[in-house]
Amino acid sequence: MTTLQAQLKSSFTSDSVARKIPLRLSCLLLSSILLVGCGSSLNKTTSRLPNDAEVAQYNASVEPEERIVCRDEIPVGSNVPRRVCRYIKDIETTSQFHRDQLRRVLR
Amino acid sequence: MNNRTYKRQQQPSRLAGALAPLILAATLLELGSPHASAQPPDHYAAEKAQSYLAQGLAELESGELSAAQSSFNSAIQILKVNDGLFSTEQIAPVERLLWAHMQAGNWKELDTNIGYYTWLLERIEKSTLASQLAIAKGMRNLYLEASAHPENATPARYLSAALRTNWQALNFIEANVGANAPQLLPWLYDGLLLQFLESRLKNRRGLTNHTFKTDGSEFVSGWSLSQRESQRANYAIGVSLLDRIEAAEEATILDFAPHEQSPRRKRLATTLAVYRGDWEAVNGNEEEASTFYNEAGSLLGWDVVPLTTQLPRPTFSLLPLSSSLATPMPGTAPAVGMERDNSRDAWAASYRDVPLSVVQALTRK
Repeated sequence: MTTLQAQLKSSFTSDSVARKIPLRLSCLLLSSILLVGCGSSLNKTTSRLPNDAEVAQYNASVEPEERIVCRDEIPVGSNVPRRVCRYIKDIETTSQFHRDQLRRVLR
Repeated sequence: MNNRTYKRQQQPSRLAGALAPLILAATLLELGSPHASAQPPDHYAAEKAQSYLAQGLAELESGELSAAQSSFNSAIQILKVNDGLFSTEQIAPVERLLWAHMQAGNWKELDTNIGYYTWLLERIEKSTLASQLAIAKGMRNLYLEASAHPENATPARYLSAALRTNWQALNFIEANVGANAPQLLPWLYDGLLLQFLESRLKNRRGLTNHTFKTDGSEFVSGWSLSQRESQRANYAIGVSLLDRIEAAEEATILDFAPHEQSPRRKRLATTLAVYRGDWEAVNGNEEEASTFYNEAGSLLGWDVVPLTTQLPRPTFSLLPLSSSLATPMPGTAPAVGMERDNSRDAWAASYRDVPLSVVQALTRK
């Protein structure tokens, strides 16, 4: 039996060992994230980005650094919002990179 | 040895001599005090653990929170000494200790003890689905009450933890008994009630950012959702949960009659239409709510949809069959359109318009 205790630990602590993501959900998320990265090169009819409930459920089962955030973004050159999912760690890495670049330019 | 050194060496003994009467007096006073009988706990007397636990429960019940914390700590210490550091016997007093700290508003101690509690839980060797879900429900209740504590400066942090615990329980049930197991139903509906609470939380600071969702201190640009995004997500999650309730209920229907002829399916469709209408109503979408209520009415030929006076309904249950719908459901009053009774017993000042019945349903055993 999968232990719930291990999951409960992540409610307030972040030092627990990696938890097992339900296979179905992890496949869905992995394929979704890959598809975002690969753009139109993959068959979009088979992809579906996780909805808000799936994101919340997934985020509750993983370490903080593995959590994702999905939101509707309007890409440049279009008025049609597109749902985009990213790892929080990637958002942070990108933000840090941009902050560093700005600091370097302004120096 | 010169005279000066000798004097210096003599000072401690003179000091002790001067203090001795004071110590003696203090000891005598202590013996004469009402607490004279309170001996330090004998950590080797295993049988005393239960009496400390019972004493702590009584103190917790009467609101003597410091005394309760002390009693639970004594019980835990005795159990550690007699049954071992990993002893799961400690779980009961630790659980009560968490409540004592929460009620006293000792947030730091609460978090420390939650860490110890979860560490202990990992030592449970044998458990059942029901026992693990009971633990999850206990934690969810604790977080929920913590989020409503009047002295809690970060209610969003604890509400997030309650929501997360509910999702973890759903993950756990899915992993062990399947994605459409009937055991999911109460947790799915509780998830909807928690979303309702989230939408009614007054102090939302940190509700949608990285910090409170992960207990991390770092700021992550781009993670925080705007108020509008967060409200939209809250509503969308509620709709998804109702979809999943419908799927789980569908899976329990074993008759193979065509959809339109199956009374059970008709009843389910009607019920879901009413609950969807309720969700639209609590989100202020009056027009959409009316559409769903009309749909429910047309399915069973009602003239008036029986609306409850308090939304959302505390529990999910299939509505009665049409023959018994001439009278309103228990605790409800028939009403036309969206007219509702405004008399609501508010749960907590930290939340806006949350009926007590909703929280009672969430925290039921």
